[in-house]
Amino acid sequence: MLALKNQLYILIFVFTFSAMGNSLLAQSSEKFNDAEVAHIAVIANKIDVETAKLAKKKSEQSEVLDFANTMISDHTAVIQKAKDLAEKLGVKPQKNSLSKKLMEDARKTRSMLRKKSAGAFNKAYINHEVQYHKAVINTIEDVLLPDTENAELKDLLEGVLPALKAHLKQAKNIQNKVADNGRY
Amino acid sequence: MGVIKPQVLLCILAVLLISSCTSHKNGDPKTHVVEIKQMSFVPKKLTVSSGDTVKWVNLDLVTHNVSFQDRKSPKLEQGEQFAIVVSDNAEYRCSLHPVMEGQILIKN
Repeated sequence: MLALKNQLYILIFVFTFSAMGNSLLAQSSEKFNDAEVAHIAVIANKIDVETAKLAKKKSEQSEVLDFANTMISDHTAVIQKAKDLAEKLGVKPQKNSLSKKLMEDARKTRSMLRKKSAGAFNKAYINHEVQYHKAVINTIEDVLLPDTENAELKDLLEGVLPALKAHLKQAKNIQNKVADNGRY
Repeated sequence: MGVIKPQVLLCILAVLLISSCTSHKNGDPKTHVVEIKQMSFVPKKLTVSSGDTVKWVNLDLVTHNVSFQDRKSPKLEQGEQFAIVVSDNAEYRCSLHPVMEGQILIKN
């Protein structure tokens, strides 16, 4: 059963992160404890806040700026909830291979985005947001939720999913506008 | 037997009076609640009478607003609410999350 689960993790990580150009194969068979899950949750949200801050510096397109502001507001709220819960449960979020890999990849992504001109940035940022939200949703549903033992932490992860799905839909709408008229 | 005692008659009259008042009250403006949860307005479509109040309550982790074509609520943090008296059909959305939409319909 465990072997099957590990194989599933490998498939999930290949599917989700290869789409982002980020392979996490090396860490794919790991199981994460609650402290590690909490760290992954906080880091995944922080990454999107940082990327949105970059978007606010680089973009002048109002729809992209509105989206970036929402990412900052929503993901900051989730980080605070996760921190509050960790404190309540007496759990110290613990660094792990996946959260480190996420941070490494985020640095590369931000470096790539910084080099883009304003117009190209909007497209690259929105494309990234679509892929990133897809990957995070898949990771929560298929990896973090099954690994999480604490009911309140599980509730928080489940509670965040609708927001992530709404972000994904919103990002796809902006992405389609870019594809339709190339106005960004 | 067959004769209604005055006390019973008074009780019947009192019940009729209260019932009549209640019927009148049904015509008074009502307050309807729309919950904002899991990134949706629930119910998404709400039918009310002109002059009724609609109250939105944010139960989500994240901040929302209620945005009409000509006005919008302040930002609503978790647990905060916003209410207006409605007199016309209206479509609205959360301008922070434009994928969230709702509708108010006025009964004829």
